[in-house]
Amino acid sequence: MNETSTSAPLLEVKHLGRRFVLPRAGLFQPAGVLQALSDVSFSLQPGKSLGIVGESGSGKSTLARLVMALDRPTEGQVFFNGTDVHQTHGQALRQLRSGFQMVFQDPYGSLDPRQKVLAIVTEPIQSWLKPADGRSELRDRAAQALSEVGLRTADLDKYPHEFSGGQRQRIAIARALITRPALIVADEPVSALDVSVQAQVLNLMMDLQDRYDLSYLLVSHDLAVVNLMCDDVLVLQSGRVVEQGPASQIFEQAEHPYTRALLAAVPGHREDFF
Amino acid sequence: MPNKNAVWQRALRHPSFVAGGAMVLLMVLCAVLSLFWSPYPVGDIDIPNKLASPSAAHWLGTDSLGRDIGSLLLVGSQNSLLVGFIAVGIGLGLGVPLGLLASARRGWVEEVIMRASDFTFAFPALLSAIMLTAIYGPGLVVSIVAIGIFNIPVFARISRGAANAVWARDYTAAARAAGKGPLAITLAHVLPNIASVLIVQATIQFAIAILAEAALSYLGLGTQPPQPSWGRMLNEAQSQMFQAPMLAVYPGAAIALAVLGLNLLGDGLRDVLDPRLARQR
Amino acid sequence: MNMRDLSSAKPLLQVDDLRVSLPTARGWAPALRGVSWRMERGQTVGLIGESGSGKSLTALALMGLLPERARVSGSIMLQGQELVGLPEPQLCQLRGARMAMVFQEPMTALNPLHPIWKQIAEPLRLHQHMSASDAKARALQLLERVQLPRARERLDAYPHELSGGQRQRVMISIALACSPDLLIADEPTTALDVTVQKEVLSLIKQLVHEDGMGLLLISHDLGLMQDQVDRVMVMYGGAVVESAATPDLFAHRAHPYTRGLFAARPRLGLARGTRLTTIPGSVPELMDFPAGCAFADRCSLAVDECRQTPPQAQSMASHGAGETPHVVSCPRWRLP
Repeated sequence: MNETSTSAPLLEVKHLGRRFVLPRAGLFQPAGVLQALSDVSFSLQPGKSLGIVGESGSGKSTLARLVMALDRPTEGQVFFNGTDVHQTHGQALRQLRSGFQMVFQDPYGSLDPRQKVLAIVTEPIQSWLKPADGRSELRDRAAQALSEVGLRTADLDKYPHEFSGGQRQRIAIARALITRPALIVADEPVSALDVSVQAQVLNLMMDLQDRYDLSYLLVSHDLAVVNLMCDDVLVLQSGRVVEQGPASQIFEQAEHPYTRALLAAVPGHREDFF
Repeated sequence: MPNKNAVWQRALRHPSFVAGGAMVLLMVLCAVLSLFWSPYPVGDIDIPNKLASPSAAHWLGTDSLGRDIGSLLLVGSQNSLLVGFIAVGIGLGLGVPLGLLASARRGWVEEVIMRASDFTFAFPALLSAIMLTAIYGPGLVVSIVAIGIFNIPVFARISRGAANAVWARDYTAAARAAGKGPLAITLAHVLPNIASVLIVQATIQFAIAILAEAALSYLGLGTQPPQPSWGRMLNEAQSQMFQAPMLAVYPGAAIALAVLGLNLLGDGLRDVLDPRLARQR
Repeated sequence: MNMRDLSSAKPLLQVDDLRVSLPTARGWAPALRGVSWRMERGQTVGLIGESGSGKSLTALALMGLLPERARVSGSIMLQGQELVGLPEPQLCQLRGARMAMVFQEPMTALNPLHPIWKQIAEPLRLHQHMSASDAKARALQLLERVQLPRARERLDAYPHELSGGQRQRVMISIALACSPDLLIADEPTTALDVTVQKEVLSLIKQLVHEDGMGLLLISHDLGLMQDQVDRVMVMYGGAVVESAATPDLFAHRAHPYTRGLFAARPRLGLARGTRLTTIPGSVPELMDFPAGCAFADRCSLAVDECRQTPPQAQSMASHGAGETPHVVSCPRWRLP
């Protein structure tokens, strides 16, 4: 994107593609193929944020999962800090993962209902804290993470069902922050929240962005949210990139008809009532 | 489990749970009691007093050999419980890990495990148990093993289905993103979240095991004399059908109550442990 | 439309002091605390609010679809007929025939095992006693009216064979089958993509206009309201806090909650990194709302009296476009 930058990109995606083989419709018919993503390339500089915009079926969630190494691509590569994420395994991958974490869309599904908040929030660091460091260290770090998202230490001993949607999303963000990652992949982080709660969580995410120089890879269908949080935008349609560039440019002078259609369809996008 | 108090309170208000629980508890108490004491030793044969009607001395009367029916029922409950526990234990201990493995690995591992359990399902359980006792000789141990083997595919199938649903949730993806491997995720996330399904199924399988043991004993292939067994009591009662018809009612009622109690308990547990109902309150 | 001549007759819908209480572990919680409004045929009213505001509960109360344990008081008059307390068989006669509802999730609101035409035919056969073949023909007409592409082929299709937007069109045709007088649409486009949303909403608008139905549109999306309805009611904590004609509401927002809601929205014109104005605190549990104004604990203008006395609805005399008064339930309202 920003070719004049001299520092190495934080995240680099090259010609990423993912193909799914569908179940056969009949015994003698060939199995169908769904190309969920094809030929997606972009790079993300440290401290910058990229918005992935698209509707359902655009492949944006698939892209998020591929970047997070939760799924294997059929074509292409993902490089985090220069290391190919899909060629790294075991302990090395676990180390690498501390640099990038994820926040999921559904605040009700992304937290294990049977675990206390302490266990949920410290899950990313459980595998590499030695037993000698003990539970107090784990608890301290968890308490610190919670305070950063505006929750209290007493909340560590509660269960997810005792919290509202917005609070659960904060817990999810605390979990993502606990390893001090450089990149957070957020898949529709506020779509399931009410407007007033959305605003609180978005403000929190922006505060964290400034405080820790975080990069966000924000997947969203909501153009206004992307506009608020991201420097650059990539528009996906049916698995392909139709337009990408700086956010200001795309939102003001979109070239591709699909991008234009998306912008025009935002309800009440006329700002004359503010 | 989150909020144990709330779960208990709901449980104690649920009619099926309370009724079923009481019946099962009664059965357990009988079995435990009978380890130490029964009104009459079950080995005591008292031919002059055979086929006696219920009286102050023998609350339920005596059978064709003069044995006290009440004592026979009491001690017979030991077998039923033993079979239930061990058979369900086999099913849980072997079936659940197989199901969890199938769900975690997917692919050909899942196919092999599921087809193997289909294969086992294809054999009618009781006939296969009979066949096993024919090969290895009748007795309590063989019948327990036979019944237990058929619990394995049941639990494998159930735990795989429930585990699949859990793997689809975002929190397992979050655990993978946190660096946890599939074994750790299975133990930390999948197992606790399918526990309620397994508990309910276990009570159902317990009831089925009791019925199966009774059937085998009725056929003479299960518990051997002199150990009392409800199923064998039914068989013996058959020949006394016209002299003492009530002889069949007592063991039959005992079996029916045990099975009913377990099923009610299972129904109650299912309602009480259902997380969706939990959220409504 | 000459429907206006009928306005001296009974209104399409008149709701008076509708209250709904739900049983919770901690006792009876007031979920709706006295909602009143009135609408005529051909009018479109929007109900906007967040979770816990009672907007969906209002729709369910109108249709008589509240959970059995709920306690309802107040009055709902549909063309002069009282709905509160109406026995179920009579409510069944009204549902689908005189008032119909479009739900949020078309996939779960449609029966996956029945072909499309059967589901559209259901209200027709029930209320108009049509034969199956007549109903199927009418279903085709309805599908063409909602602009479902290749309607004839799709008659025998099952819900899973259609896309989200197409399923919602089918839901709309089911709702319209018996030409109801009142259409309630509860978040009809929330589950759909943005481009499809626009099409479905304009379809609803067009059909409502053609048939002269009354429309109650429920949503959490402010922008949606601006284009779709003549009048908007803002709900919070089970009560209507502000209501006005749409252009009036969007131009002048008087209630502190309404102002907070508008300010909290991310919108395209903002610079990157702009912090949004938030409403402090969060929506309390049903039992924890203050006795007076539901919004009192989160309101920057609140005084003690607000917490104790429920606010009276006041008409803003200086505003109000035409016949629709601008009503605010706040004694301390002021314009920015």
